Amino acid sequence: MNAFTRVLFRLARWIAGRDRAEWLDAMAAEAEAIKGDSTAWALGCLWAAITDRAHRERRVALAILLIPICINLLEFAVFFPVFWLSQVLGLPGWTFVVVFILLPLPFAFAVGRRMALRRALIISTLSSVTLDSIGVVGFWIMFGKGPEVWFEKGSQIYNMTPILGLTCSLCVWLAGASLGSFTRRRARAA
Amino acid sequence: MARARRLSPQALTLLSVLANRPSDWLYGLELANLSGLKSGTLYPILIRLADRTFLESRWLEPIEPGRPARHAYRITGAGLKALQQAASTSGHPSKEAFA
Repeated sequence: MNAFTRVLFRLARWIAGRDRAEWLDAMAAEAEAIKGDSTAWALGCLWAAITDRAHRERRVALAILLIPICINLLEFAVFFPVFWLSQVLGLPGWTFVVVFILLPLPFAFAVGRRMALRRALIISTLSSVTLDSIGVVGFWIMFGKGPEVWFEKGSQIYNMTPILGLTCSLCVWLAGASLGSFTRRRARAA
Repeated sequence: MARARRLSPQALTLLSVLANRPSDWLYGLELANLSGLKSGTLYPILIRLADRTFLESRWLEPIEPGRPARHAYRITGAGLKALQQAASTSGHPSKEAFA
């Protein structure tokens, strides 16, 4: 096994969880037995770990898909009212951006309220990635501009460079989940 | 009453491969080659079949020294029965079955 294959197995092991440690050992042992490049086998094992985990935790997998869809629908619903309000009140442009950056906060908070911190952070990160992916794919479908457009000079997400915009968005998710998990712990301790 | 879950065509293919050599312990790579399934499809099926006790598994010591032990699989009586039921239900073991 080469270094990349080892990284793939480490990731697969992490995704699969302790319950499936023996199965990951079995997959890795087969990779060792392959004479030649075992990258394709390792990629398959990573996919196996993802699908098996999603199968075992269908509600979580559904949440990772449904929460971003709900946020997307909410974005559509509040877009024109927020735009109109900012025009009427003469608010600066960044207030419009802040509203959209903060939209996932209550959802992430709700995720944090329902589960332990580590789990909430993982789900929030995956939901954030799903939401961003929906945005990219939506842009692609509506305007015919593929993902490469986000790497062009001058492209912006939330009025920032794409990296900064996506990082900001992720931070909001993580902050919401952390806050939710923190209040959950406090409520349990009380 | 527990609901009988339908076995997928790939799961039936895998069970058929195992049933062809019921007394042999087969490795994951051998099963992948014999069934034509990639590792990403093979292992989730193996896990579910093992959970339903349709196959048993064990670690076999390596033939070549310095190599890790390998996980091997063999069909169980319950697995053979499920395959027979699948064949009698649909007339073709690799189509539809109820375990």
